[in-house]
Formats: sequence, C-alpha cells, structure tokens
Amino acid sequence: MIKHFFITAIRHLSKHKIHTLLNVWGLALAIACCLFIYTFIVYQLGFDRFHQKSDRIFMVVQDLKLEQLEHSKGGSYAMYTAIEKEIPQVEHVTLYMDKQELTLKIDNKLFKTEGKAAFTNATYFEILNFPWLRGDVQQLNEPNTVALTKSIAERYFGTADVIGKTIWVESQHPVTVVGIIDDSRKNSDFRSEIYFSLASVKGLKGITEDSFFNNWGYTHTSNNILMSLHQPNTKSLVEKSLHDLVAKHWHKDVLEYYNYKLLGLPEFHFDKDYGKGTQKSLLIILGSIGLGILGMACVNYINMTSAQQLYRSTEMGIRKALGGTKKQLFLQFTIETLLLSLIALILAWLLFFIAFDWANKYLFLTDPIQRIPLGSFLMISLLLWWGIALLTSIYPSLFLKQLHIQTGIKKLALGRWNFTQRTLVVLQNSIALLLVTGTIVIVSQVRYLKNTDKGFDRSSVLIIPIKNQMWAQKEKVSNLLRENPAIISYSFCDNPPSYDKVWGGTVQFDDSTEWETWAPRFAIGDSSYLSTFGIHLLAGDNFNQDMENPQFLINETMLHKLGYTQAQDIIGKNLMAGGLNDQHKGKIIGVVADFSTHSLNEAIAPTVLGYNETRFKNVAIKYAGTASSRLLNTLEQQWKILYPNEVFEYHFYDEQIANLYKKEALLEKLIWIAASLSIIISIFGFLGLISVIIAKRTKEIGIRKVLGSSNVGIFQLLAKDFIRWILIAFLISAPIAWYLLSKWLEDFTYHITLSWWMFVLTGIIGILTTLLTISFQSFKAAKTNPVNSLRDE
Amino acid sequence: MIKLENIFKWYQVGGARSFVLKDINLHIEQGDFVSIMGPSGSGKSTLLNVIGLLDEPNEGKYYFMGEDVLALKAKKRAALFQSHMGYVFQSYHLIDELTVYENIETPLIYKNLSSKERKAIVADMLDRFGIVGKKDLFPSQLSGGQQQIVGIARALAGSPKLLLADEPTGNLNSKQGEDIMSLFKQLNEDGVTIIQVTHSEKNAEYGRRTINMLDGQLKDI
Repeated sequence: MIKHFFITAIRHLSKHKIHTLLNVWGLALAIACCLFIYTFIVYQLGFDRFHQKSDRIFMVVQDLKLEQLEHSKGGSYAMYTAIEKEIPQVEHVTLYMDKQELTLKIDNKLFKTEGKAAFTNATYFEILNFPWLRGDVQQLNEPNTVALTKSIAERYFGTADVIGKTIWVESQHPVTVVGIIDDSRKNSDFRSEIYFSLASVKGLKGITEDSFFNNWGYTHTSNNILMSLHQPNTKSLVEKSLHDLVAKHWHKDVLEYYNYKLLGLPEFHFDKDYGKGTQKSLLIILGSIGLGILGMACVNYINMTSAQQLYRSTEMGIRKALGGTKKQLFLQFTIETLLLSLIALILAWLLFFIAFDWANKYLFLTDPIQRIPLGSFLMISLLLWWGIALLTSIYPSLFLKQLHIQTGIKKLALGRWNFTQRTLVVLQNSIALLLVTGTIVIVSQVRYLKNTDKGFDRSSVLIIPIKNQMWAQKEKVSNLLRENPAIISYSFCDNPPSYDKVWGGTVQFDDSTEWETWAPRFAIGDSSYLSTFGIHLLAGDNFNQDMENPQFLINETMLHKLGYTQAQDIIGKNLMAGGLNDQHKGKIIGVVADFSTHSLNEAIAPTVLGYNETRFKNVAIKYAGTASSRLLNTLEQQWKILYPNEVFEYHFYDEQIANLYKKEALLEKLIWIAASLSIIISIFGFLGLISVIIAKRTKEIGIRKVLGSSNVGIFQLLAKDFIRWILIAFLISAPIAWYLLSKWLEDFTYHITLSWWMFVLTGIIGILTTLLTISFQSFKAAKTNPVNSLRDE
Repeated sequence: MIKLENIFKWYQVGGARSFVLKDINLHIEQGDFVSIMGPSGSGKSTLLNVIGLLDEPNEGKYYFMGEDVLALKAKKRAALFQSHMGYVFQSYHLIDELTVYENIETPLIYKNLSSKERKAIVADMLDRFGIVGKKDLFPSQLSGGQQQIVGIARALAGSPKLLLADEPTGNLNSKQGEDIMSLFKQLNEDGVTIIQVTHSEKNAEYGRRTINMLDGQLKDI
C-alpha cells in the first residue's frame, strides 16, 4: 500500500510541476534559513562552554568607582603572581596577554600577527581545552618558545610539522616552535593563533621597566588573568582574598576607587560591561525571523494544497467510492507531504552548505561561525522535516473530514476561500512587510552611523600604525611626510576621533587638589591634530606641544561639565590630567567644538586634547584630492627603506570608522537577507495562488468577456483581491513595525527618526511586487478566448 | 438482496422541503439486472447513490442482504461497500495519475489484500476484458470506450455481488455503448446483480426489468 502511495505521490507532484517547484523551493529556502540561524545561535551560545572546567573558570574584572562605574577587564603581572602564590582556593591561574601586534620573520618573509598573538604559559592549557597535537606543553614555560595552531603553522610554513623551527620576532629575537595546537574549536573569546611563552615577554615586547612586573597598577585590558577554582562556589571568597591582596601589596586606598570581581568565562561573550557584548536580543530576533520565514513557507504549502482541492476533490471522491477509508486517504496525503518536504530538506542542505561558506567569506569575515556536530544537525533537520509535515497535513486532514463523496466527484467541493486561509495569506504578507520596513529603517540607521561625522572631517585621511620600535625614526618620517606635496597635513597621535579604544582619566581643575569624581576622555596627538581632523577651535589657541608645562584643549561638553558657559572664562585655568601628563600641571589654552571620540553608540563625553608622545600609535595623514593610490605607492617605498623589517600597513580612515559598527552592519546584512527571503517566499505563494484562482475562475472570466469586459478589466478583477490582502497586511504590519523599530532605535544615542516615507516605500514595494508577480498569469488568463473556457466537457 | 422501505430524501430550500426521493419502496433480487429510467432530475442517480451507500436518505429503511444498512456504523458500512459493491461512473473517473493496471489495483489496496493476491486478480481482470496490452498506459492515452472498460474492470476487481452503473454509456458513441452493454449482459449471466441508470430505451432493454421514475417517485414496477 505504501508503495502505491509513493507512486501516486511522485506522479502527483510531477504532474503539478509548478506548484511542486514553488512549494519545494519555498520550503527549501525556509529550512535552509532555519538551519543557518540555528547553527549561528548554537555557535554563539556555545562560546567558551566547551572547556571541561567551564563552570569554574573565571577572569578578573574591575569597576572604577566614579560618578558612573567604569568597567574594565584585565589586571597586572604583579596581581597574577600574587594570586598564584597566596590564594589557596585557586587551582590554576595564568596571565594571558592577547591581541599582540608583532612582526614575524619566517624564512625571510615578513608576517604581521594581526592581533592573533598572545603571551602565556603552560597553565593556560591546563585551564582551557585546546589540545596539543605535537610537542610538550611544559616547554611553553621556557623563554623564547612559541606554540602555533595547526592552521597558522600551515599558513606560515606550509606544513604543521614545524617543531624546532625558528621564528624571528621583530627580526631580532629568535624563538623556537615547541608545540602545535588543535584549533578545530573556534568559539572561544580567549584563543589566539600564536602563543609566545610568558617567560619571553620582556625581550619580545621590549619592556624596559621592572614596574611591568612589580607595579600593581600596571594593568592593561588585554592582560587577562584567567583562573580555575577548585570549587565554583568559592568565587566570592576568592574575590575577597583578591581585595585583601590589593590592600596588602598595593594600597588600601585603591579599594576606595576599585572593586575587583570574577567573571565566569562563558558569560564574557554576552557581557555588555566587561565582555564582548554579543546581544542575546540579536539571537532572539534571528530565531523569530527564522520561525517566521518557516511559517510563511508552510502557509504557502497549506494554501496551495487547499487550493488544489479543485483538482484533488474528484480524485479523493473516486478513491472514497472505491472503498478508501479516511485513514487510508490521510496516509496518502501525509506521504505526499513527507515526500515533498524531504525533497525540500535535501535541497535545503545544499543551500545551507553554499550559504554557510558564502556567509563565512562575506558576512562574518573576522568571526567565521562553525558547523554544529553532524548528530545535532541531523536531529534538527529531522525535527524540521516532521514539524513541517505535521503542520502542513493539518489542512488536508480537515479537508478530508468535510469531503462528501458526491460533492467531491461532482467537483462541487471547490477550494472554499474561507476566513482562515485569507487570514493566513494576510499574516504571511504582514511578516514580509514587517521585514521590509525593518530593512529600510535598519539600513538607514547603519548608514547614518557609518557616515555621520560629529565635529570632525573624515575625508581623505589615511591612518598608518607605528609601533614602539619605529619611533626612533620619527624625525625621518616627519621629514618625508612634510616634503610630500600631496599631503596637506599629518598628525602623530594615539586616537583619531571615532576610535574604538579611548583612554581617559580624572582631572584636578583650577587650584583644586581634589580629583574630580568623573573622568574625561583623552584625545592624544600633536599640535596638527586639529588641522588633520578638521576640528573647530571655538576660542583660545591651538596647544603647543613642546612646553614643559603642558597645554590642553577641552571640548564644549567638558566646559559645561566644569560649570562654565563662556569659553573665555576658562582659558588660562590650570588642569592636571591624570594619565595624560602625570608630572606637570597644565593649562587650558583653548576650547574646541564637540566631536565624537567614540562610535556614535556613545554620547559625546567631556574630552581633553593633549600631547603625550609615549602613547602615540599612529600617524594620520590628510592628503589632497583623490591621489591616494599614488601616495600610497610612494609611502610604501619610503617605508621599506626606513623599516626594512616591517610590513607597510595602513587604513583608510573612513573604513576604520565604518569598522566600529560591525555588529550593526552584520544586523543590517542579516535583515537584508531575511527580507529578501521572505519576499521570495511570498512571491512563490502568490504565484501559486494566482494560478489556482485563475483555474477556478476560468469560467467566470469567460462569461465576463462574453459580456464585454476588456482585458484590463479582467486583470483588475484578478488583482483586486491581492491588492486588498497586501493593503490589510500593510495596515497590520505598519504599527507593529513602528513600535518595534522605534524601540530598537531608542537604544542608540544618535539615531534617525522614523518618517512616513519609510512606510510608504514599504507599501509601494509590497504592491509593486504583487502586481509584477501576478501580472503574467493574469494577462494570459485575460487574453484567453472565451470560446475555449466556456466549452462544456 | 435489496429492500428499500419508505425511503425519503429531501433538501431544505428556504422553509420548504424539496423532495428528491419520495416514498420509495423497492425490492431487488440477487441476479437481477435493473434499469432505472426517467427524465433529468427525476432522482434516479440519487436512488442509485442511496443503494450504493454513497448517499444517505433522510428517512426510511434499507436492507442489504438482510442487514439494516442505515443502522450500521460507518466503518462496517464501508466494509460492506468494499466487499459487495462496485461502482461505474458516467465519466469513468479513472485516476489520471495511475496506469490502467494501478487503477484496477486501487480498490484491492484499500481492501488490504496482499500484493500477490492483487497481482493475480488484476492479471485476471486484464485478461478477462482483453486489455493486457494496455496495462501500462495512462487514462489519457485511452479512448472513452476503453476507459469505461477499465472503469468496469476496476469496479469488478473486488468481485462484488452488485454492480452499480450511473449512465455507463452516456459519454460514449453508439458502437462503444453497445459493446459495454453486451458486456453488462454477459456479466449478469455470470451471476452479477446489476443496477444501471440510463436515459436510453435501447440500453434499458438489455436489463431484465425497467423502473421508471418521475419527480422522485417510482411510477410503476
């Protein structure tokens, strides 16, 4: 019997090719979309949860208690050694200094580490599960050793068999490869590709002062202190011991300002204050979109199946007359559904694998996602398959229940377009329109974020990073930049406006000896900073960088924060800026217009502009016009002469700013894809519907033509229903979209305002798509000769 | 074999009842060949459907082989239908997606016969109606007469005691119609009870007796 049903199902599916194709592709797209989103969510939720000890691994984070809590992670070398010696509840502790930028020389080829290098020791591998494929972990405790992941070893050497080979760091220090690490696990925020031994940090990083090792205040956000505890519930005890250590070895006053805490490693990925801040809401949004799209595809299937009653009712009537029971007929429908959704599933796998590779290449770029284990992938596939089959056989079963043999055979049981089905179509298009509005708004907002300069000018600026070892040649660099006629202005600086890492510290203002309870941000550069970035000086003068007592500029927000309204009144006042210049008290010499130091996700903060050469990391170059490629060529050649052991590296400033909005840009791309998918699926739905509706109304169309209706009149007749559905869907989706999107926009400090054209555009897109979709078949139907359609069989 | 007592069937039209069958009393013996005649709308198809269990009367009693059919549960009624009745339609109603072979096989599948039994019965049917050569063709590849022969073969596959035919020759030309009717006569001589609805006097003459209907009532027996 099953075989018979299979044959019937296959013949039926191949007979109604168009409907089958529309259904299969619609379902396949939706399933692929769900599989993809599921993979993405599982990957994100699994960050740092795969370590054996993950429930008892912690990292040190701290809050600086100012007017607002300032959160940061990382600690100092001294703190790390003290924890190791003095807190018994700690099983293992390591210092993991990640995101290191070094230049490596391997077989006379130069490589930048691009932040993939770290310093740590063998204990790191006791805490985290990154298995060694070759070599002895303990050797990483020796100086001048390095362990590489398999992938990077293959990239550098062309093979993973590289134990004992030498890598030159900064072309000065030879280090030996002692281990190869399995890097098949990628979802960790605490993994690097190149692990140098912590014992060699002094030489390789060129650390001259002992304070790096002894001074408790020598903290850095990338100096992560990771530890595993014997018992996870001793966390608060360890936190207390940590405070005691600070009081004992550093100073008890420090505890007035700082609060030290332990953060569970798996929490880091979603933590907004200390961690990466991956939004869980993004995962929820994606999950809902996935289910929504799947729902849309199911609605298509249900609608097409029910509309096919026209063809199917006769067949079902005959089958009943031949003695088929309801159960048997239902089984037939179910097998058909299972078969169709299986084909869709197989197609979806294909689409998924294509989309997966494509997404890792173009969508996630720096954060490629990983496949989930085959077992759970098959499980979720199976679940989707059966879920769809179940959902889509509800309708046919209802239909069978109602079917009377007599009416069936006489084709009286034409698909009745009842309320439920109409609702389904409207609902389906509401989802699509919601996503379209979402796309319009999100794209506008991300574009706004990426392209808005608050108080500065980004155009025609290049940023070239300059490392510590390169400053010896600063004068030569300065000379050749000055001599280049294509360069309008250049500035050695730490942070250009709109930068991801911005320093700050509290200040003593005027004659006060008290530190303020808030910390302004610092924009650190030389005196060309203003001209290079086009920042407006409102009052006073630009600072002179060569004064022993430093000169500072402040922005308007800072002026107001200090309680002044007139710029003139504050000029000449004293300012001690902690961290910017700890030796000397300086003077405020001018006030600049507000400009953003951070991304536009944060409001403009009180800002001090000043000079501190030890913090410089970049040179920013403002060039004339569009001659960037010629300029880059020249600079690259000059760089090679100056720095034969360095790779010439540069960023276009506007691209660097755009990079601040990676998360938003990802959301933008994802919503684009989701909206396109949903439109495709509703187009499929309409294509299927219009063909059925035309088949059903053939006779009516013929009669109307005989009575004198024009082709356009027939088209209007057919289009009317569709337009009505789209309009109702629009009316449903618009307020929901307005609500959700204004919520979403509220989270941004600077955002666009929702305006009517975004909604009108959505409506126009909806109606145009609909008309285009149904036009071909409708006109064909309108042009049919009534003689053919009215002939009685 | 069949006994109908005071069968009524009506539709509610507005406040009034529009009768399709009005007080039908009918007795049909095993081995009979009955032709039901009458103008369009006289209720003959409805009567056939009531006898064939495809439709239910609003009132009255129906005994089939001594059983009170209308009192039976749906499942038992379906079983009764499967084992004793075969139905032939005016427009053949073959399933388009199935071949001749598979069309004949379908009722046997619903009866849960094993594939071996089915094979034997279908082969027998194909042979008996001389359509062995057409077994792999689809309905659309056959002429109307051939389709109706397949329809009859399908109706007889379950070896029913009663064959119900609703205008079996209505869509056929006269030559094809004659073939079908002589086939019916042959079947009846082999022991199958047949009830057919027809318009044509000529066809009615193939039967052993004729029932005339008008406005839902039997005119004479």
